[in-house]
Amino acid sequence: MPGKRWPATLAALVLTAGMAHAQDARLDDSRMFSTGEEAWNKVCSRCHSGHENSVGPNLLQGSYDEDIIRFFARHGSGPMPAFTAAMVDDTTLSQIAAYVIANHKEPAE
Amino acid sequence: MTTRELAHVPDGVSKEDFLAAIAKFEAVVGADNVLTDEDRLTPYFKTMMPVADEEYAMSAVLQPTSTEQVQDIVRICNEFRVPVWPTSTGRNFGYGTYAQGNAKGRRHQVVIDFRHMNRILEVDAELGTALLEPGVTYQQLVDYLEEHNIPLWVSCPAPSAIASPVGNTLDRGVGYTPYGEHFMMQCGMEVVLPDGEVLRTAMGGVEGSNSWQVFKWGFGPYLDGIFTQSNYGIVTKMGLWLMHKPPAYKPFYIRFNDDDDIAAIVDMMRPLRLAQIIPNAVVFAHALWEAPAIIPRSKYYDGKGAMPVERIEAMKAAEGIGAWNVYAALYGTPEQIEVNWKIVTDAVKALGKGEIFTAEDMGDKEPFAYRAALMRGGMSLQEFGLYRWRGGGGSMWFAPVTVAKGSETRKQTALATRILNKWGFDYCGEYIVGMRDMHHVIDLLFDKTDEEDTKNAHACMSELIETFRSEGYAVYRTNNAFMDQVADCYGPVQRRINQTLKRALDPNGIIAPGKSGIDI
Ligand SMILES: Cc1cc2nc3c(=O)[nH]c(=O)nc-3n(C[C@H](O)[C@H](O)[C@H](O)COP(=O)(O)OP(=O)(O)OC[C@H]3O[C@@H](n4cnc5c(N)ncnc54)[C@H](O)[C@@H]3O)c2cc1C
Ligand code: HEC
Repeated sequence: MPGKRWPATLAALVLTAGMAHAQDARLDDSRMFSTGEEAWNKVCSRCHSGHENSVGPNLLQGSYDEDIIRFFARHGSGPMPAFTAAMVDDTTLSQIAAYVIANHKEPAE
Repeated sequence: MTTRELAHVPDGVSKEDFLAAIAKFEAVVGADNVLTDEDRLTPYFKTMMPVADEEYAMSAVLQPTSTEQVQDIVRICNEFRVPVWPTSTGRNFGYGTYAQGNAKGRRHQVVIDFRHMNRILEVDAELGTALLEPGVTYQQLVDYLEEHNIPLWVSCPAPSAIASPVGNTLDRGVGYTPYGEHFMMQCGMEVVLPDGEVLRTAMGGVEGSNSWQVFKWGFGPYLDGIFTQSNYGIVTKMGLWLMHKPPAYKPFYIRFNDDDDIAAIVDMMRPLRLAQIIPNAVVFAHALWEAPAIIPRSKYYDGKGAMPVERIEAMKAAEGIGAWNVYAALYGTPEQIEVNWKIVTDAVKALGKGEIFTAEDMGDKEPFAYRAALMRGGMSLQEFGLYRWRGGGGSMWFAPVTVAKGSETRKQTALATRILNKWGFDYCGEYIVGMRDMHHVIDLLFDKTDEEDTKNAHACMSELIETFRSEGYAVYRTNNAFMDQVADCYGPVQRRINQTLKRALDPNGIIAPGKSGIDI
C-alpha cells in the first residue's frame, strides 16, 4: 500500500530544518544545521576542539580562511572524512569558517 | 536530452542510454539533485580501501526524498539497465564509505544518497519504538529525543553523530548499549523492490495495523533479513527499538596487564553477560586499539613496519594502558546496580587480576570518556583517532566472528597478529561481545599515500581472510574490494541461493550488483 499517507499528527513531528519539497529545489542548499556554530559543535569540534586527545588540530588556534575550510571539508584528509554538501551545506560551511575566525585564540605559551 | 559532462558511465551501459536515464532521473528528483559534476561528487569519492578510488567512483549521485521517487528511479534503472547502489548516509568508513560496486565490470554504478530523505516519522515514547527514513543521522535522532523530552536512548556505532541508524542496521553494524546488536533491535521495513513495487514487511502488510514496529515476525517467512547486507531492495523506512533510559547508569573500566589475560577475561565475563548482570555489548580493547584512540604511533615509534614489542611495552607503561582494556556498564535502579556491582567486583577479585575503575576515578579522561558515552548511546568521534595512528588514511576492518570462549580469543589474536606483523602492520584489535558470540574487530591501518604499504595491505587482508577460513573462521562484514572472497568463505550453496533470490527478485540485476558477492 505505497499510497498510504501518514496522519497529520505524525507529519508534525517531521524534523528536517525547513526543507523545501518543490521538485526542482536544490536539496543541497537545505540546512541540516540551523547555524554554523551548531554544525561546528555537532561535527567539526568533536575532532578540532583542542582538548588533550583531539583527533585533529585545534582549528581555533590556526589561521584559516574560508577556502581552506571548504577544501578540507569537501576533500577530507587522512583521518578526516570528506563531507558532502548533503551533510554540511555551503552556507553552513561559510558560517563555520566565520565562527572559526571569530573565535580565534592565540595558543597559550 | 541532457548535456552533462560525465566523468564516468556505468560498466556495461552505453553513454547514450546513460544520458537518457539521467534525463529521466532529472524529471523525477530535479536536475539539481542528480549530481554528475566532479566538484559536487568529490566528497563522495574518498575511500579508505587499498584500491584506486577511481575504480570505485560512482557515475552519478541521486538524492530522492520520497518512496515514490525511489520507485520511479528503480523503473528507470530497469529500462536502461543502469545499476544503482543505495546508501543512507554513506559513512561506511573502513567498509567502503560511499563506494559502489566491487570492480570487475560492476564499476561506476549510480549511488542513491538518502541524506535528504530524513524524516523521523514516528517515535513512541511508551513502547520505545521509532520509524525512520534512511537519511536520519544518530545526531538528529538524539536531538529529537532531547528536544521532545523523550527518555529513550539510541545505540550507535563509534562514528555516531554523522552515521545513520538505517544504514548501520542494514550493514548489520554494532553499538555498545544493551541494544548493541542493531539488527536484533530492528522491527519492520518498507522496501522498494527491484520491480518498483513497495513491500512493507511483517505487520506492515496488514491494513490499519498498529503493531508494525513491535512484532517482528508477522506471518509466513520472515523477510527483513534478506534486505540486510544484500541487494534485493532499497529500504525507504525502518522501524527500530530504542532503550528506555534507566534510572541509573554505571560505566566502568577494567585494566589487565598481560596479553595472555584475554582468555581469563572472556571466561570471567561470559557468565555475567549471559545472566544479564552486565547487559551491554562489552568491549575488550587491546593496547593497540586503546592507544590509537588518543595518541599517534609516532609518539613511541616512528619506524617502518609493525611497532616492536618493546616499544609497545614502553608505551603501555608510560600511558597507563593495559594489554587488554575492558569497558562495560551496569544499568537499572540504584539498588539493582549496587547488587550487580558487588557481583562484578567479586568476580574480578576472584580472578585475582585486573584493576577496576569507575567514572569517579576516570573523570573526563580519554578513552574512558568516549567509551562511557558510547555505552549510553552518546555522540562522539574520538575513535577516529585510530586513523591518525599510522597516518595516510588507509583502513579496512577485518572482523571475524568468534565464540565467547577464552581459548578461542587467544588463538584468533595470535593468528591475526602473526599475519599482520608479517606484512608490517599492527594488531589494532578489540572484541565486542554479543551474547555467545563476539565480533573480533581489527583495524588494518595502512598509509594509503604509500604505494607499497597499500599493496601490502591488500595482500595482508586477503591472507587474513584465507588463513582464518582454513581455521573455520569468517568475517561478519567486509568492504567492497573483498566481498567476493568473503562470500566464498560461506560456501557455494549460500552463494547459489543468494543468486537464485537475486535472479527471482531482480532479473535485470540493477540493484547494487556485487554487494556481498551477489549478482545475477
Ligand atoms: C573510527 C570508526 C569506528 C567505527 N565503529 C563502528 C562500530 O562501532 N560499529 C559499526 O557497526 N561500525 C563502525 N564503523 C563503521 C561505519 O562507519 C559504521 O558502521 C556506519 O554506521 C556505516 O555508515 P552509515 O551508517 O552511513 O551507513 P551507509 O554507508 O549509508 O550504509 C552501509 C551500507 O548499507 C547498505 N544500505 C544503506 N542504506 C541502504 C538502503 N536504504 N537500502 C538498502 N541498502 C542500504 C549499502 O550497501 C551501504 O553501502 C566505524 C568506523 C570508524 C571510522
Ligand atoms: C573525525 C574527526 C574530524 C572531523 C569530524 C573533522 N575533522 Fe578536520 N581534520 C581532522 C584531522 C585528523 C585533520 C588533520 C588532517 C591530516 O593529518 O591529514 C583535520 C584537518 C582539518 C583542517 C586543516 C588543518 C591544518 O592545519 O592542516 C581543516 C581546515 C579542517 N580539518 C576543517 C574541518 C571542518 C570545517 C570540519 C567540520 C565540517 C572538520 N574538519 C571535521 C579530523 C576531523
